[in-house]
Amino acid sequence: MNCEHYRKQLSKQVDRDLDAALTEELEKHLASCPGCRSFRDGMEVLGRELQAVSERKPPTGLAERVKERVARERRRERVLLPAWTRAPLVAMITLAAVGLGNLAGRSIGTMLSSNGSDDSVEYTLTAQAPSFADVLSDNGSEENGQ
Amino acid sequence: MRDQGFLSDELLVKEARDGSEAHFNALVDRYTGLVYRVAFSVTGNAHEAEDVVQETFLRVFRNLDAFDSSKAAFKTWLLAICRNQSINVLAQLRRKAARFLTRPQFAEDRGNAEEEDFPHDQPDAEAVLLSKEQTQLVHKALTKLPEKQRTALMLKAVEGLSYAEIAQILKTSASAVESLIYRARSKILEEVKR
Repeated sequence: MNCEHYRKQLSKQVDRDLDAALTEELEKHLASCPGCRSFRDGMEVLGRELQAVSERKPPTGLAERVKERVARERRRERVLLPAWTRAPLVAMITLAAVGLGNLAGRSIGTMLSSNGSDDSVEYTLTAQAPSFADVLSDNGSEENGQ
Repeated sequence: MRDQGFLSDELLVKEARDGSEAHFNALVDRYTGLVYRVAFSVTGNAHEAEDVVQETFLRVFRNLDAFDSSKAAFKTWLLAICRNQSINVLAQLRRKAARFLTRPQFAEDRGNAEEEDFPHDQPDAEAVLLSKEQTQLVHKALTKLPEKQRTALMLKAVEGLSYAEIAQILKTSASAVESLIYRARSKILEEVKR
């Protein structure tokens, strides 16, 4: 094994990721290799220095500024979202209006045809396809076997 | 408002997805420091790091529904977003520096471009108490590392993440992370010894 192999092991040891057997093997090598001992000392100092370089606190109020920005985004989404939600709502209202209109038309037609006052109306009503209200309520007509 | 500090990330994410502002804010409180340190490690610039933190959480908010806890822990997902943002910022800084340094009057300073990319902030009190010169040497050496090596080293040495977690953030293997960290340490030691 060359020194580079052991130095890689040293890096893992600093990270507390070296198992016992490899640690023992590494210690044996270190006992006889001043170069790798120097490398280990350097890594320990480096570990402390990295902490010193990086133990920096975020600027005061950063978390609050992040929250405010996300809250603005949330509000913006709320303003935009109804545009999405309006479409299905309008569609539902339209369908309901069509359905009601259809029902109303049938009722009036039925009323007129029961009076027998206008043959052309009776013909039109009996010839028409199942109403939209029928489809929605899944009643179907007896003629189509439903 | 109830204290959310004791709740797991998973639960906070779930509630935040359902629209809870308080739970999302708890994630912000929990991770602002970490995201800031990682952003600073990558960009080397305090002002840019702050912008990265804001952008990162904004992206998290917008993409919370896309987060899949079966694929990654929230922390690693968050740090992967932070790293991507930081890399974008770093590229912008480098482009700006390149434009600046290619002006004739600054061409002679091009040799110091790497340091110019990473304006050094005032060292904090703890760094002053340690050997200021040594700390600055390490900082300078850090700025010279490739981004991937620097990020891997900082995530390990400072944040204590596992090789597997770092591998997820860097989209590489755990053994590649070991190697990145080893090379980063070796290069810094060589640089400091010079």
